[in-house]
Amino acid sequence: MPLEDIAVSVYDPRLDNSPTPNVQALLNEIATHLVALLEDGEGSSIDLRGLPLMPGEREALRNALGRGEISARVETLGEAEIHETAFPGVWWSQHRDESGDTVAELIEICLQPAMLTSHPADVGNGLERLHRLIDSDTTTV
Amino acid sequence: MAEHDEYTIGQHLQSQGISRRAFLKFCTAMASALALPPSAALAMASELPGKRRPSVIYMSYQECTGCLESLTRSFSPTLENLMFNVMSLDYDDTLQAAAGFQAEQAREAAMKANWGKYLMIVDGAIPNANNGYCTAAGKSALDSIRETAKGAAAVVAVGTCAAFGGLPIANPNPTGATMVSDIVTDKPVINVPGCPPIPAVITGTLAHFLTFGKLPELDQLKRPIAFYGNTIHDRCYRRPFYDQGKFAKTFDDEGARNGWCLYELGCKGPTTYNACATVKWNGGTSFPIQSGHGCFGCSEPGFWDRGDLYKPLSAGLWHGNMAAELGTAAVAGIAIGGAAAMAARHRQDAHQKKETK
Repeated sequence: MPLEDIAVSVYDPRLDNSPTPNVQALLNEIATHLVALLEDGEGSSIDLRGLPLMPGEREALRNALGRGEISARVETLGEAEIHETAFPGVWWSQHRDESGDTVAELIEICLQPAMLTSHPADVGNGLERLHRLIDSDTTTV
Repeated sequence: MAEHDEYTIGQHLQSQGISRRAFLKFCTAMASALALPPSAALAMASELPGKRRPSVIYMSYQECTGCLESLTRSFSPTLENLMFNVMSLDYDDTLQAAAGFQAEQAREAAMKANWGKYLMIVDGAIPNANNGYCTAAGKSALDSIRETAKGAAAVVAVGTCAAFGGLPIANPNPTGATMVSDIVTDKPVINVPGCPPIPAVITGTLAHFLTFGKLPELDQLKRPIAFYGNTIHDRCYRRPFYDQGKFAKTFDDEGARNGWCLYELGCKGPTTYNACATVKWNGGTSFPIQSGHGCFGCSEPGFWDRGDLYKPLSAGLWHGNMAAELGTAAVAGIAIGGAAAMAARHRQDAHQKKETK
């Protein structure tokens, strides 16, 4: 029996531009969170490392969400890269340790990720240092 | 207790020059490692800085210090070291500078100041056969663990020796080694087995208790499900070869070179619950199977006595010392045979004496 007579079709995800069921489910979940953000001001996050994604699905999700206007790099205990996707209010954040290994990867649905906000305690510390700088004769503290 | 322990965690972070943003990153990584909802990171980052650092007392018994090496020589030192800013390590006879009565005074002072609230970490099995084994500062291991556990909020048994007895409990177990949960029966016990455990698994378990003040969800062997919920086999990247029936037969054959399943070379992955296949070692670089060697099953009870490490699981597991037990059976057989022979001989003698009369 020639091969073409066997009723088996070969699926190649690279040739298929439609989202896989996992990506489709995630896009729907993000849409639901966006509704909650708009109506109740309630932010939320999705931990990508906790999801059993198949090879290529993370990239497919990244491509589907695209990139928006803001991209930030945070340097604390290793790097973190946070960018807004093409959908305002949907942020992709990847946190790495000092060795470059990913320690957390999240999709955050919020007006502004907490990591990009100054904390009052840090502001207070900074103000103390600024006062010391003003009171000292040097230009560094 | 030292004066700095009166500080809150937030004050301590500030004194170390650690920003709240860095702390938020630490909490985000911990929440992800523990499979907590991402919102937990924000809650941890806002709640913890206002709390006092919990006191931790680390006790070592029959162990090789590999577990402490694993914890302190982790690949991502800053993130892991942040743990030591969140807790106050008041006693660890391997790490602390104090020795002798000063060290014991520090432990007693920490216990008194934090009675009912401190976290006790135990590393190593506890000898039970002779109350004089493993004596430190004039106290046997058995007395010392009982005394220290009395005021603890919970006890974390780090490493397979503390959790299940490990190497010391292996046949013939000359010291009568036993596991923490057999001695500490009136306090919550969390087992974090492994020889040694993965650093992130140790710190993740501690972080959960320190931040939420309660135990993480545990399995029937008291292990945190977040890390011990799946077998190595379930998450192994060589699993598809097992499903296809492709096995390496020797460590240098074509199957081994092609990265096929190591089941027939004794891999204990199918019966071993741990996070090696996902969290991995050396900063996520690799784990034993990825390096071409099967899993030993070091996070399971009795792994030293489970028979040949290089025989497949299908060859059966012998939970004991076959030679010793066969030897005992033979001795028992000889004894029974001897007694029967003696009885027969006695009957013969009695019969002969009767004949002579």
